[in-house]
Amino acid sequence: MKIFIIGAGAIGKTLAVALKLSDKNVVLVREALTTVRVRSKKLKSSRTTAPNSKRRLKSAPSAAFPPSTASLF
Amino acid sequence: MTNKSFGNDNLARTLEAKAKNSPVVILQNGLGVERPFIDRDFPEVFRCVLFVTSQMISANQIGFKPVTISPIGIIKGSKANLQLVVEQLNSPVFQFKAETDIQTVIWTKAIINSVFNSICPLLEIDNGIFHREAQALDIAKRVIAECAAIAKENGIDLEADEVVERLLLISKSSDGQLISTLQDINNKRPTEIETLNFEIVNIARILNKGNAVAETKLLGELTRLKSELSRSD
Repeated sequence: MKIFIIGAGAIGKTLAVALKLSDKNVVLVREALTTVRVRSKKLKSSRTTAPNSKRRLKSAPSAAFPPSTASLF
Repeated sequence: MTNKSFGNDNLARTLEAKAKNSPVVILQNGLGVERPFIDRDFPEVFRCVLFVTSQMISANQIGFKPVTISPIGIIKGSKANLQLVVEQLNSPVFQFKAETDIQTVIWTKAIINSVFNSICPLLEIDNGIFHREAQALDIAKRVIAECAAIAKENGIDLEADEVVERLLLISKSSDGQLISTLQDINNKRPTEIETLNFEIVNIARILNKGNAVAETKLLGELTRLKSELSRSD
């Protein structure tokens, strides 16, 4: 099963990395205000850090996904 | 869906032609964020309430702090598929669980977010203000009392005191952090205040209780104005 994550903000990227570390088939899709952009990238697990390394994860390749707002609960 | 909730209308329209029969799981804050997908008759819509903090540190780094397991519940769909969705999304790093009473969780968090996402941006201050400053907590308590009464009128069983306790816990645990609406305003981006204070005001109006949420409404209006002014610079 392929999981599409729409919204490449802090939550979307974190979820994508977490799922990729669990060997799930994930596609992260950037969302724009008017439409779903075509730009999507499959995450590469080699670019992630271990999940327990100070709870800090490296994100997906950054070129297509500039920093965005934090999602705080 | 981890996008900002104000994009849901356009997304639902776009996805209707591309993936209408896939289960939709909404990981967003606010009330009524599922409506665009329900209105377009998506057959399976699930809602997650996130109990994590996640913040971009740099272009290639994210700080992620799970506070507790994030619940997912049914808006429209079957229990079997809810379980399947949870199994697909759950991982040791980012944990999810099935929740039977998701509406109470949604409302509790929406009320707390209505407080944080209006008062903190207006004061231009971090989330810790409510456990540090009694006057700020007093304002928060009044907003919570208004919103909790509307929740009860809407059939949601929650106690204002419990919401205040939860707000204080969050205020302490995220002391020093800036709420998303303040960051949005600082970065001249649209905010999600429409699905927080204003959605509660809209529900109150439908219940003929519009006058009972005056402070919630005023804080929402000031936050919206601050956001608009920041983007018109």
